[in-house]
Amino acid sequence: MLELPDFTKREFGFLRPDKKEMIRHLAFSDALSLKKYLVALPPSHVYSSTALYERPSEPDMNAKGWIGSEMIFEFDADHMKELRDKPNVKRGVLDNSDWSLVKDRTKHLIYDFLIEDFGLQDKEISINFSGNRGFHVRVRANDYIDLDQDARRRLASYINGADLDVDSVFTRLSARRKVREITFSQPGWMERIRKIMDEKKMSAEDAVKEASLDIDENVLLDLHRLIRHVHTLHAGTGLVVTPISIDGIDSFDPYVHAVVKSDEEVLVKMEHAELFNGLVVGDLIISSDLTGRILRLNRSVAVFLLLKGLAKAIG
Amino acid sequence: MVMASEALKKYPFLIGADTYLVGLSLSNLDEFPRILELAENKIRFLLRLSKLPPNINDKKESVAVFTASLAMVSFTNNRRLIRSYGYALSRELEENLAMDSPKSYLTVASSLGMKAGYDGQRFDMALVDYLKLKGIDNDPALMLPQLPLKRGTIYLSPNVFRLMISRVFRWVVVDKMESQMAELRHAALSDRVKAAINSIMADFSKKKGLEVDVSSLSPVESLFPPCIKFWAAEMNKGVNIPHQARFLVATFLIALDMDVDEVLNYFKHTPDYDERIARYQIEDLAGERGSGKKYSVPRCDTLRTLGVCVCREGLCTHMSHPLLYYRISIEKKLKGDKNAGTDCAKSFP
Repeated sequence: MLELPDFTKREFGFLRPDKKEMIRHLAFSDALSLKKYLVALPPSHVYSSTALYERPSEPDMNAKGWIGSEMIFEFDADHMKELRDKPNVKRGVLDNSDWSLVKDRTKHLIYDFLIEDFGLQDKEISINFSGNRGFHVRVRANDYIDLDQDARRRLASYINGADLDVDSVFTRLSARRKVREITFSQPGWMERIRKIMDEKKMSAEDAVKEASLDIDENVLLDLHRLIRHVHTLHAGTGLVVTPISIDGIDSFDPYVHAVVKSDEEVLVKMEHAELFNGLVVGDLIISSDLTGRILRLNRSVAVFLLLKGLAKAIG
Repeated sequence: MVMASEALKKYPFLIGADTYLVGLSLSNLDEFPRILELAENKIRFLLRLSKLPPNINDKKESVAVFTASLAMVSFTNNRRLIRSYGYALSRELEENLAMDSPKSYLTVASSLGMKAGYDGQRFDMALVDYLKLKGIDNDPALMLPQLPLKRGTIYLSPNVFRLMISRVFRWVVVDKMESQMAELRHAALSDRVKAAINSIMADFSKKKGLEVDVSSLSPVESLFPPCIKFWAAEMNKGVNIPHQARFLVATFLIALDMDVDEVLNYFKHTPDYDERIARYQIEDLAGERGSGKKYSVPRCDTLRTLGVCVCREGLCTHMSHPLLYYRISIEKKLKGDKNAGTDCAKSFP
């Protein structure tokens, strides 16, 4: 379950419940050794490097022998301009329409940019539910793994449209028809702008805004980043960092599929249920009338509600 | 390896050119008086210090003159001269390519480590090979969104590919000259070679004016680049600006040799201002704490990516670095240019 490709070349880091500093520069020979370590010294957060190193446990970063780094694209609702100011997103609980938007943006990245433009194959792309408010898209492709920050910056600027010479697009728009046809039949950004303008009757400027993705460049450019390890728990939600297949993202429901299966039940008193009427968490359907009621819930569901301030522990 | 004479004469850096360089170095250049003279002529002609082009006879001479000219310019230890010569060489290359058939571009590109194909109408290049190219970030026409891209392959018209080759070539020669600087600094040169180099430097400085050392002057806010002016004004209004913009302003002011208290003045109206924390952070950026590492001012391409660049007009369209903008604005002001430092002023007065 805890396996990742090139497992032995990755650095691991942990945050313990009682300590603020990360314990890092650790490496494991296999997933079983990692599991034993986690059982012996349970941490609150488990991270592994997106980078591969010759000597991942070397404390001096310069001595680790960097081989390359996966490319990571983070899509978190709290970083998306359409969602970040919503009260429920600030609380850390997304409704179905929020998830739908996060998924749409993630799919736009994968299908339009990574596959259609960059030519990556499905097998080189994986998605993880982050355990909280979004998804991590990981690209593990031999051709891309040793790209330096300058090269990654070009990809980031392509995706967020920062290097798009909008003036030049406008100039071309007003050019003679033939020039316009040639320019706008070019695959990539030009064709994308034309398609959106035609389909949605938008201006070129709005089409650029519509098609660009506001990705976090700092994440993509960080060659030594530690991110949550797959199949571990997010301590802020109790949900599992879950791998998802590309075509499985639509049917993935984080509050159902990332909830740990548990036979244990606990008592909680529900609060603020009216804020999330209809939301499904595990086997619980939240409804307004649950506020103030004492429920016996699956332990994992209860943990999520407690951490999000939607319930209080009883006893 | 025998190269086609005309190709090597025009492109003296092609793969295999170094086989024609037997025994030539900067230290013994005076033993090759014709090469020395032609190299000096080439530098002067390309830097527009003279109108007489060097009269190079053949490929062997062209390779020797090219190599000697790079070494002579490196020896000046003057980065501005090196950049100017790199620019001039790339301009010459672009002109030569424009007179050749596009098919020949592939040979030149390959000598620069560029992998590309040609179908008789347009060039193609794997995206990953494009991403690894150096020196192409300041030309909008060469930026990825402007290029046709499909399934990991970019497509380039002969004109765009020619521009790309010239920019990569400029980066390669400037990098070569800069990396030779330290190695050649202590080379024992004959008086004749030294005199040629000194004469080029003197005429170049006279033409361009003395380079301004921005850190030696009192800061002139009106000549700051638009991004610094904009973010400083936002902070002054009490706006909570992004971390990257704070980093930009702080590193820029530190690069002008401002002391920590002067830098702090720019930040004191920010909503979350805490002098103790801000001072600590600025001292850290200035290399006065911890590892002692002084942080550099981010380049313009980084600022564009981070969304911190606020101006794409005037001088900014040609800039690669905020400090370069500031230096050029000072030079313009000293020459009496009333518009120096006014780019994008109408957008955010």
